[in-house]
Amino acid sequence: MSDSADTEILDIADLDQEAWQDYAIEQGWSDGLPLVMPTEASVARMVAAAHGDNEGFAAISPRQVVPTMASLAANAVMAGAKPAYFPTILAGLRGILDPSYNLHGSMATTHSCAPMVMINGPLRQALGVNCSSNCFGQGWRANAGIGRAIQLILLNVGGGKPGVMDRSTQGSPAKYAFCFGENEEESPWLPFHVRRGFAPEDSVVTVMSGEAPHNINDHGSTSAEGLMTTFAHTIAQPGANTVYGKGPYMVVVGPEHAATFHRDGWGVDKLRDELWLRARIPLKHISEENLATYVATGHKPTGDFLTICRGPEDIHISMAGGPGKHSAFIPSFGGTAVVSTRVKLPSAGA
Amino acid sequence: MLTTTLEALTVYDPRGALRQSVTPTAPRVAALAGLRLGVLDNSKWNANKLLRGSLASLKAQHEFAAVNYYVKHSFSKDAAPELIQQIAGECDIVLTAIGDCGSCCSCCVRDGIALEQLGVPSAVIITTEFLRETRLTRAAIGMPGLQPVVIDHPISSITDAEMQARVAQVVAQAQQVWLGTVAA
Amino acid sequence: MRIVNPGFGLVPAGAEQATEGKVDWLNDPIVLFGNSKPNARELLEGVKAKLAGIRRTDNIDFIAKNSASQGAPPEMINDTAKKYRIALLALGD
Repeated sequence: MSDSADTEILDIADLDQEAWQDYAIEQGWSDGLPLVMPTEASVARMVAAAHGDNEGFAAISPRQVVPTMASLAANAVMAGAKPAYFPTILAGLRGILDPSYNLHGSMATTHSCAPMVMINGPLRQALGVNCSSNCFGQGWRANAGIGRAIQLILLNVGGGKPGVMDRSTQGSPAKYAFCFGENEEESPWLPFHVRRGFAPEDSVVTVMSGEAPHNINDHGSTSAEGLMTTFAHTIAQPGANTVYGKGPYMVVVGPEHAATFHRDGWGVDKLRDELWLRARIPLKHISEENLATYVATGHKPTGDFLTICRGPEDIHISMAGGPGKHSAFIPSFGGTAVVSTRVKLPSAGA
Repeated sequence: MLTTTLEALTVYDPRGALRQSVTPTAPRVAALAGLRLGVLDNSKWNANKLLRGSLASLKAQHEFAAVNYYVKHSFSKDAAPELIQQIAGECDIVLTAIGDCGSCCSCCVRDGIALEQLGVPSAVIITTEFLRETRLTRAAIGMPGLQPVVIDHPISSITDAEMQARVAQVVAQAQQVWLGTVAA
Repeated sequence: MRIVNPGFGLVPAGAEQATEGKVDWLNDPIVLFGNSKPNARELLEGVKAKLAGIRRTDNIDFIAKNSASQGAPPEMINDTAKKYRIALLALGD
């Protein structure tokens, strides 16, 4: 693909639908699916929706160019996002550009991580973000559009071309779009963003470089204690990047599991403390060669176990999903952070 | 502001054309006494408890000629055709549970419809959360008249006292399903 | 027709380059900078052994950052830059 970073507006031949798709894919702009054409008018509508957000952006790794509002908006248009999604997309991008997120590492890695995007606050309803049944899956324009727009920005402005600068060994379906909302309405706990110090009326985007969700199925346990046995042992696995013990992870508890934890008096702090103590990998599950490397790099066993994070504060708990006995474990890339950013809306001012 | 005039366009319906036949349910029974009752347990958590509890209550109320208990061992799959044939040959009415998740609900409804097609009135127990899925499934398979027994969700994580309340819901509704006294 | 370039961006001002200076390849201190990846240290130690044939090695040191997937802490970079004139980093595999 030719690097055309120096021209903001491209004058191209008049193209019909099919010719446009062929052209855009040839430019390397697509995730493989058709793209909406980023005309000046559609980009202008997108940019207008972000008038509350006037701060500049840092250069995006690995290509290291500084985006303009128009180039970001062009990607949102191509992703099929509505203009109303744009402030949320920008807040997600700001989190990803926080140095602690480690974008350059997570883009270049052979690991299968994708930017996980979780939305809290009143914008979930306003935008129609799915927080309930199938929240990680297909079928909602807001989840798909916001998640895909962020991916296209990282591809086109960031330059994370699969197989070139994105060296993921196998990739993941989460790399198309990985966006969901917390099910605040059915959660027995305080919303995730409120626990992180934001106001309930703030809308907040939380990002983490993570794997696609790993299911935690438990239909049989009727107590918090029973559920924790399943949760801890599902999470304590030697083949996730959490094995290095140096980064965060997310646990997205389904509403029926959350209700059982809550009924037995287990809040978020108790869940984190118990996971910290119990979600540890037995040394017999770790090969000798691996263990030697972990020990040599400062990750030493605790008794007969290897911890999978630095402490309870590395364990992030949220609640999402619909009816059913399923929850999810989202291991992080490892060298990353969970970053929450408030969405700046035009009415609220800059 | 930009104004555009929408032209009338003809597009293809991406859902395809529906060709559905509607099969009626089996004839209802006039009374329960003297009938052979079959129970099909899908081996889901607590299905056994729910069905055994319901059976005890039903047997106390009616003199059945026989009560046959069947178990299918994979709740996410339809019962084997041989098992459906066997149940239809050995029973006059059937109670089956439990559709309290997506795949098990779909399969319970399909088992119930298969039995109804063989002439056996079947009471299929599902939970409130899966009522919409039940309605879509029965319509898709062509038996929109199948009346499910709808009890409170959830089932797998409840206490014994909560289970007793679910049993009462099953017993009341199942009889109406077999007798055809439930409003469509 | 005209579209907005989805790859458009501005190139940020370039980072300051280290001042040029003459390096004494046979005597200046060298840091072998490992990133904790399996075999990074073994590879760098092997280089040191080879260097023994052509220069002094008493001022060639091995250090390592503890996370291969993250940049080294700025203090570590600063301290290392003050102490050494030549650096060899591994391993980007």
